[in-house]
Amino acid sequence: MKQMRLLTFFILCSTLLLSGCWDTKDINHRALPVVMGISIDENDEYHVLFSIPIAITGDRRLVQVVEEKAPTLTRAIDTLRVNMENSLDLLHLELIIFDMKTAQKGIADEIEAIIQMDEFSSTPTVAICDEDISDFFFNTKDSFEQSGNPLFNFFEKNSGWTSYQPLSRVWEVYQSIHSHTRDVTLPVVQSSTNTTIEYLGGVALKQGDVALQLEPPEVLIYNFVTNQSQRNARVEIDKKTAVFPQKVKPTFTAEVINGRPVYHLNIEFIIVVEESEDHLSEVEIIGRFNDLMERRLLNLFVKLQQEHADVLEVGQKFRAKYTYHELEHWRDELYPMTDISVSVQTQIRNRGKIK
Amino acid sequence: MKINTMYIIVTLLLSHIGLVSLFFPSLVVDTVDQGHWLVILLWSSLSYLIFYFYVFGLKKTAPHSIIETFSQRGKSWLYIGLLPLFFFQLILVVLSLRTYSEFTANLLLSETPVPMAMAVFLIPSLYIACGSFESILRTGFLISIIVSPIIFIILLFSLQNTHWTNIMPLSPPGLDAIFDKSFIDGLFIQAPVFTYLGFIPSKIKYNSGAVFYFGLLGILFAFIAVYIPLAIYSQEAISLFLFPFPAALDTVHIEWSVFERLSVVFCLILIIFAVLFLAMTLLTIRLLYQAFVKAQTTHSIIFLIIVSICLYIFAYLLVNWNQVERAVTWSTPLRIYTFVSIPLALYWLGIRRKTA
Repeated sequence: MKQMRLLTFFILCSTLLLSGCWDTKDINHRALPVVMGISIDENDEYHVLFSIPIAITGDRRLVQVVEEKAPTLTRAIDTLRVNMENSLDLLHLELIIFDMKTAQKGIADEIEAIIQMDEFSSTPTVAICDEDISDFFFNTKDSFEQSGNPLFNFFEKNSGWTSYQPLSRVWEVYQSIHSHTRDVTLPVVQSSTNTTIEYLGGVALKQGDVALQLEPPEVLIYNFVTNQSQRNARVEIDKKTAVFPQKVKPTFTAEVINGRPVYHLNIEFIIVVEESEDHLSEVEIIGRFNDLMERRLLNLFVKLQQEHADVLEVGQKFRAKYTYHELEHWRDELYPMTDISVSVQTQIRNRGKIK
Repeated sequence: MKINTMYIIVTLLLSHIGLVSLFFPSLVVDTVDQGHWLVILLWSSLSYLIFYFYVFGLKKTAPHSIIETFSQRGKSWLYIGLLPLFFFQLILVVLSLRTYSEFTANLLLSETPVPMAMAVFLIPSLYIACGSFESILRTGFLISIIVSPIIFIILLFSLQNTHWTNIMPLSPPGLDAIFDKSFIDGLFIQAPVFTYLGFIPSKIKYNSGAVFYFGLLGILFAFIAVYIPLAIYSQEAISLFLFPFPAALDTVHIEWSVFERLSVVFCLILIIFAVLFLAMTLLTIRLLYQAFVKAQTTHSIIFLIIVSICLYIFAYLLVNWNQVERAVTWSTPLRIYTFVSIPLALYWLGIRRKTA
């Protein structure tokens, strides 16, 4: 009996270990930023901003924007941490924003640092803003406090995302920086008074450097080819006719003929036609749509090949054809000389609600 | 199937998952940069060949445990045969203690000092190791009931970001990879998982065939642990990570889940496995000591506590990760010797006994 009591006492004592004393910080002592901004200014200093939602008091929604300048990214974060009254918890970050100037110099080092640090998770979305980063943060803060729409919802597939936007997360950018055969695209946004942010287009990265700016229709093509799920993307054929792709199925053939990579892309569309005036026959619509798609596709391929940026994942299809060491030269030698051809096949499912 | 057989299989698979999802992927991607399946297959088939000899050697020498079989042949057999295993188990405790604590600090407790994380692993396993073998087997079974649905769900979610073209090129690597230092480092890396089978007391009867064939499922885990990170990150990026499998789980993004970071849940499960694995290793150390000096249970428990404190200090002295990796390399000859000599000797003894 005495032994049992002693045992029970020791077992109860072991629950003390559960508190994990070193890492406990109560939720009311934590600041949980959702958006992080990184910019490098003229003096080569990092300018880091965080946008931190504050617990709602009454009817008001508040956002605190904190910023710091320092010679390195980590020092900027650490200085902020020292100056803030709460502890900075970066695990729940949803969005990381670079400004255009910084992105043009390359974001590889910053992404590398973010992946390396324990305190970041690898799932925040990455985006670029085409204006001064402080303006962006303070404008979005104002519109959030008025409307209550959090900024990052814009990029979430289960809320504001559409097929016109690229969507890349930190780990994808990191992967593309190191991968021999894959590049990613990032969205470009700016603050707006109408909606919280305004979408301007995308950029194609080449190993973390901005290689090419993309228009929204080009990003749409990118999403078709890389087979992202389709959301609310209409393609206008002429002023009165729009086409709504319901199912997009890209298929590929990749071969090496006489040492030269030959790539053929075929996309099958199943579309719904929406037109305000019945002036085109089905054959005409299909013909025009196929023409338009093929032209845009080839155009995009040519532009990307010139910049050596492989965002349309051509190289991924050739991974099986080369050895690992040959793939190291994919971007700069093999990809530019790849023979690329495209074809488009379309079927009309219906014409919306009207016969 | 007898319940004991099931206990043994489940414990075997659990400790296999714990081992394979930490060490294994980074060893594979360090060894080759294409055709990873060949290395996994080579390592696994060597380990499982030895496993075959071990399991069926034990069956032939039944109803005795490995200690009884060796000590029946005389003192010299006992010392020459099992002393290397004893030393290897000691090194294994140091290395796994250090790896698991490093892993925990890396993912979960970034501010907790490593010695404390090590203590959290060591104290419960020491407590379990002071008990009997049956209690470990029962604990393993209980844990598996709780965590196997979670593991299954995690594996399912980890497929969210896979791009299967990333695993290419599949063509086998050149022959020189086999003579690479890291290939030798990985030989019999799965073997420590099987060791405990030899120490199961003879009163626990189990079906050796079933244990072997279900044990082969471990090869499947080895493939999953390497190919899921590869399909997500590709060889170029994955070779830069310390623990590729948790890094791959970290990419999973589920909005609606309570556990926003799947890797943390997985880490918690691994901690359970780690404690179980450490407990088994400590128990074998205790049983070996008991056989060497013919000690009473209480005596061996006191010995185990003293040894654990020494091992804890050793693990603490490995300051950085490079030293851990170097220690793995140093222990490799001992590991290869131990896991080739003991199963073969056991099998040979078994055959001799049948014919005699």
